[in-house]
Amino acid sequence: MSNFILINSVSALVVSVIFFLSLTISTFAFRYMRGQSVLKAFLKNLIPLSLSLGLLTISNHLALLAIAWMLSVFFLVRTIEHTNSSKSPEKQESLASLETKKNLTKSTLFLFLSLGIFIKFIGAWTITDLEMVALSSPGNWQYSLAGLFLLLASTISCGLFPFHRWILLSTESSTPACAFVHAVCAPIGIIALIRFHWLFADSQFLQSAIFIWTSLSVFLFGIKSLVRVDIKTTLAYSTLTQTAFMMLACSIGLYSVALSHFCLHAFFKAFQFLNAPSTLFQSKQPKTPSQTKKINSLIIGVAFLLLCMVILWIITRQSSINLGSELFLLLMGVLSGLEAGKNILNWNHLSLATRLLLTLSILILSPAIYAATIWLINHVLPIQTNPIFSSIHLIIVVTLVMVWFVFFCSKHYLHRKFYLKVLDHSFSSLSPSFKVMRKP
Amino acid sequence: MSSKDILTNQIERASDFIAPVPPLKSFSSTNPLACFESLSFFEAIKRASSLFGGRGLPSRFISEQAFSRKKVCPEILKKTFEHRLQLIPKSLEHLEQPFHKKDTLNPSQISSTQSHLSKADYTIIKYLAAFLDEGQSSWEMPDRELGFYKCWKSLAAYDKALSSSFIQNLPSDPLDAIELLLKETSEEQREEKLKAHLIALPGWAGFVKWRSSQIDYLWQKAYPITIADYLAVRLATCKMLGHEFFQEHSPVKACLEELCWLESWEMTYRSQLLKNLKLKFQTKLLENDSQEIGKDFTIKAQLIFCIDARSEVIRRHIEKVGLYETLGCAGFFSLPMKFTAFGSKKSTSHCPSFVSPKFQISELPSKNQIDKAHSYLKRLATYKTIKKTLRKLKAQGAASFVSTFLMGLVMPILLTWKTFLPQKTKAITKRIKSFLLQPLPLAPDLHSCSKSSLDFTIEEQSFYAESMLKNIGLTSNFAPLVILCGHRSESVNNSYASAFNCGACGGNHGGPNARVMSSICNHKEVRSLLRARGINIPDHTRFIAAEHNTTTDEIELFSSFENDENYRILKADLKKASLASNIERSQYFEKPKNGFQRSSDWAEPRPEWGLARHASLIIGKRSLTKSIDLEGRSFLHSYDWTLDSNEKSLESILTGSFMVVFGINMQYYFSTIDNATYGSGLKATQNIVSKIGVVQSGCPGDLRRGLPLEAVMLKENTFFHEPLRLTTIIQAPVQKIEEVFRRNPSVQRLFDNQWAFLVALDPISGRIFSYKEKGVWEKFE
Repeated sequence: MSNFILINSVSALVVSVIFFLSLTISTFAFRYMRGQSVLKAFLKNLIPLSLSLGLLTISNHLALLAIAWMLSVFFLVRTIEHTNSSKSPEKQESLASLETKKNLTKSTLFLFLSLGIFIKFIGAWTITDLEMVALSSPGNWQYSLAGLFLLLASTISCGLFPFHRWILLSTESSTPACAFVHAVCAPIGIIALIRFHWLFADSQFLQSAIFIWTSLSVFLFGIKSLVRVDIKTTLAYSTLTQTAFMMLACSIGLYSVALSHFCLHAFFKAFQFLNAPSTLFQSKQPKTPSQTKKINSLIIGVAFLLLCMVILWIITRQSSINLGSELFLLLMGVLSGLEAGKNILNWNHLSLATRLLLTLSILILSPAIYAATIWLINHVLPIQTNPIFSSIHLIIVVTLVMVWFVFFCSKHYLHRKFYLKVLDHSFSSLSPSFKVMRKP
Repeated sequence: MSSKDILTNQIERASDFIAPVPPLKSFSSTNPLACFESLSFFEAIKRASSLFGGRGLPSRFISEQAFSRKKVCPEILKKTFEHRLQLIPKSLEHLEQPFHKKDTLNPSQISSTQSHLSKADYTIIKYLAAFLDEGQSSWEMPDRELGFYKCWKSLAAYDKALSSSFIQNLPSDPLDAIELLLKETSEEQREEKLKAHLIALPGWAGFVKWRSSQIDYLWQKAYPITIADYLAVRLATCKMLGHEFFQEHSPVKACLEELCWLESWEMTYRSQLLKNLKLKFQTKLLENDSQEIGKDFTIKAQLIFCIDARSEVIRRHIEKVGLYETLGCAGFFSLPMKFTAFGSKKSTSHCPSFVSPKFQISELPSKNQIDKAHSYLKRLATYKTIKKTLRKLKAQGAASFVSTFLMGLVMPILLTWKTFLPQKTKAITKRIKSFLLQPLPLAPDLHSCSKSSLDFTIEEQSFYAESMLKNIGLTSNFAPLVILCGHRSESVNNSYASAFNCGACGGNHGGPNARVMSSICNHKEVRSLLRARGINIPDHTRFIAAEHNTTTDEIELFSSFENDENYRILKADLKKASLASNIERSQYFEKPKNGFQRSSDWAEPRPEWGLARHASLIIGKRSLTKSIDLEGRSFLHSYDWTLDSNEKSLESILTGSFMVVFGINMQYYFSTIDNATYGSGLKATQNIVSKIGVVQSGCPGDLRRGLPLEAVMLKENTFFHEPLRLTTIIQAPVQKIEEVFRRNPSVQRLFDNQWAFLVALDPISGRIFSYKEKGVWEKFE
């Protein structure tokens, strides 16, 4: 049996998350879509989709993995197009389902190529056998090639740039379907990477390539999500950013961080989608021109970035922490603490002293809690890896952040041009191509 | 007249063809075909069909379903066919058999696709959605304060799809730009072209129309937009993209046969309703007026409810449990006001959308609680800021990863609670919020408004009180307790929450209006002024504000007088009536039967049925409808014609309450008949855009108008709301109604053109008359 399935702490955790969300979302849908034919279509596809995803997570045998993958793709496409379930003769395939099919077929093809290499050249049929062979004979070119194909399969299924369109278009589906697709299905490629993490351990080139690719994706999706004006696409861009971030964590060897992020993001994204109608009432006041003038984003942004660098420098100088992957996490914690601090400084109803005190506490607490959670997860879910984070990685991150600040904060020409470019791109991903537009 | 004036008039006339679309936050119902009210109903739907491509009459599928549910009397159907078409429908025979599903609705039709949109439409939506955004995007569109046209000009110059030199050469004034862009169009064709461009995206254009009319709206003040702005951008974009606008809609043929079905259905309903009322009407004629319950001195309390059809059920149950008199009045209690809740910077209009607010009321704590109020405000500000900061962090760079991670830790608990234990979650949330905020008892402050430019003097207060009391015929014999009961709906995770609130209060809660009016009526000086005008409110009479929760049917009394026995009894009786009413109203739900559960369930798309199934408005004394089970299908407005010597009250009702009900009726009618064109489709596939409305199937699409499918349909293929035109029954002499028509031809026009039906219960002749057209009345058989 262990040849076919493998249940360990990682797969057990992922399967629990999949089934918990499947149960919660189907219960929600059962009430939310009561009386509609789309409910039946949704449930009819969600249940096998959850089962096939579960199977994908626990399968050890490569043939079983391939079957589970194909089933997942099949039911995922059907789940996305379930709102178009009419049996009428004039039924048209939606753009979302066409795009999903196109991308996931590519992804399946790469997965099969990867599995083919394993079977043909290494002759192993199970993941555990493959891992043993890989550890005993490092630097094998077949492994690198299979790794590359697996990476491509994973990145396409996760919707990394430029394969992201299907994830954006999937928002055409019903809210519960979006919740499941974005919480579980879109980032499921991360699990494949985690399960085959030993493939990339020795390939510095592959890891660096993933790092650059994912950093660029995080950057692009993060910016595009800022200009979106509709809730579902905003959340879809958020999924893409978070998935790219998970993959970025994988690229620097932080697999347990990616895994925990996968689980926690799944809960959060499902909640955000299901709770989407409430966002209408989260009111905001228009900014008056005087306020806009007062807040000089460039000064604040650069000041915070410099402050962040100073804090990092102090930490690296005074503690025993090396410039490793953990520092990258700490950087994330500090950055988010700073962003929270920036907001707290605007709480005008509190005195300046209270605001400063709160900001300082957040600044310390934010990286501390984040680091503590990661530390805890690392201990609960030990995945043997060699974290790497070089100064090159840091330079790439800082460059992207600086590019963002320059465009975002610069006035007039660059700001407008950059805004429009982002707006245009974020819309064109969702609009049909006018050359192939169908007649009503 | 200058060419600019001519163009302005042309734009105005063209924009008459689109109905204003208010934001979902303050949903108010309007007739989507209001521009065609000057035409007969049948003509109007034919015209609308060619413009919007929608259906205007119930399909055979709906009509046959109504027939199988015995909603259409076969005799009436035969007569109508004979009368209209001089033939008997051949299909009647097979209709006697059980209903079979055929020609059923296609879900993809319900959530209509975006395939008919052109590239120009997409380009315009891109700019429009970003400009009109009310807080969804983190990176806002630059230059919005310049207005839509100028903002577009400053940005679109960088748009590669458009020509920057063309944009730069456009005049800075949108009207000049339109003139330039329509230079080649003949004067006669101009208006048609403008109309066609507006109708291309009726949802977005409707929202622009609504917003441009709201000069006090916060977002309009900050980022102004006009119809001219929109048209200038649209014409320029179409020109640059070489998109010559053409009408794509193939009209849905409206046939007389369908009209016959509708008329028979309406006639069946009207006959049954009048059969019930006739007996009461004629019995009451013989009785002495003093025997009417309104004149009964043993009454413990008088409860004034909103005319809302949902109030009919609870009124009936209240009258059953004790000696209570209930009356119906438009839920804003004749107060055209704006209201600001304590601690809020936002003020909302609490009056019908076609009435402009005359004064501003703020909510304040009592003077002895000033200290507590300060700390409450601090707590409230902190609470709001934390919520806002958390929301911001989710969308900010690195913080979004960490916040997703940290918030993800508590999400499994939240997901479980909200999905599997909704009622407990609601109770816990309420308790936590109340513990954190420690709310204060608050009351509307009538004095503060005198400081504003819009004075609200005692004279004015007494004027509004007099107007409200006279309209409902309550000018004497006041009970010791008079309850003014507004209403609100309660639901969670519902983007259409405001659609279930009080329509007369502009889609807001009716409680504030009830509280302001009860304060006015309790004011000594107001009472003395009223006395001078013939309305003698005894000193011992106490006005109490209340609010009816239409989802749970609970009634909350805003003031407490536990020492008063009448009050204690009333409170207990209200509980009994609420329970009975909720049981009755819950019978229409498959499950959950419990209104409390529905109001707290985040997965509930239909917390209540709202005004679905309504079909009539009855204007008259309560004695006419008392103890008749109207099944929550009738709006009830109290009116005593004997007190209305100059027809002022009837005029106010027909130009106010009737117009609100008519708007609601038409909104429900068209949303049921053709949800894809006039409604907003399935809630599950909706996508909230710019925090103002919804689109279907992905983002770039037209803003959807009207009600969601869940508000009118029981199941995908089973209607719940019966799409019938409003039957208005007035208990008053025909001459009085004619006098009001003479003063208000726009109201008469609606009956002349058969947008609504009018029946008069003439107390002088003791006969029932049905209004035909052009002042012709016919004895109702």
